[in-house]
Amino acid sequence: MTDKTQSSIRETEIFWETMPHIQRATMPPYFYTRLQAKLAKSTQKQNSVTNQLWQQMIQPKMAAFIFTFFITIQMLIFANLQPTATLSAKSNRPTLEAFAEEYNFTFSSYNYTKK
Amino acid sequence: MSLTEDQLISALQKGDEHAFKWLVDTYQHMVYNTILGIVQHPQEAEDVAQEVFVQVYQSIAGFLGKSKLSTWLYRIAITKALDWERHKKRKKRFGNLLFWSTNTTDAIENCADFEHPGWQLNNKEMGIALFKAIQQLPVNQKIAFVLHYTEELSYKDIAEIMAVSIAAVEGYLHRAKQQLKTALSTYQQ
Repeated sequence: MTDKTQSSIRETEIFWETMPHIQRATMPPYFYTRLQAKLAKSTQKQNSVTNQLWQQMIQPKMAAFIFTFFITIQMLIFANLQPTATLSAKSNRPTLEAFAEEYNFTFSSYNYTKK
Repeated sequence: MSLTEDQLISALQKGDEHAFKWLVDTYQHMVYNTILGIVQHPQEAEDVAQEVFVQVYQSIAGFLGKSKLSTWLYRIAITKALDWERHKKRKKRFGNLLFWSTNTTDAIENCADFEHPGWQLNNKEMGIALFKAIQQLPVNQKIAFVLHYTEELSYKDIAEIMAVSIAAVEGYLHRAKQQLKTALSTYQQ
């Protein structure tokens, strides 16, 4: 550590030693009463959200919808397997090289000048 | 009622109301002062402190006791205070666009001249300038400074709360003090 840095640190420390100390602020009165009210509200809100969600889930209509949705997703997954097979077949189509080989044609040997 | 920390945690995990009241009575000033240093608005600080204790009540079951209860409380308080600050900044950004939302600008203007209740009365301007300068500090420096200056915590405790090394805390505090010294040099007699 250089002398300059050390003196800067010392200066800063001296400055803060002369600074007035701060006293701790006190919480406004009846904090616990207000907290209890907030806690009750929060618990009530949490319960109502959970209950509502659960009640909706066990309704016959909702259960039927979830079941149908699940089956549809499964069907879509299985249906999508089919195009994969077609895709692999498509990938076997003749490439440019195969074409050139079949027709005895190369780009390098082709004369581009107008006849 | 006097409890050891383990007894208190065990009682809280069982949902004991008296234990919760004891916890709030014991730690409310600590939580409030930490939040006040960051949020710099007494009413908002109280609201955030309420949120802290609500979170404590709801998540005490998951507290494993790996750190001290006070460290855990400090961490929740700091996280909530920083979340509030982020929310305020977002509100300010959108408040500029949405001119009809008058409430947002009120809250922001109130914070401009924050007078800490524990500051000496004979040097009001300096107190205001100090907290204004604290607000400009980078997050880590601000947390370290608030914990050290208003809560008078040791470097070791601050390092534990912030989950960094003691050397890192020393660095944060030195940089914060230097920056604040520059901001306050005009007030120093």
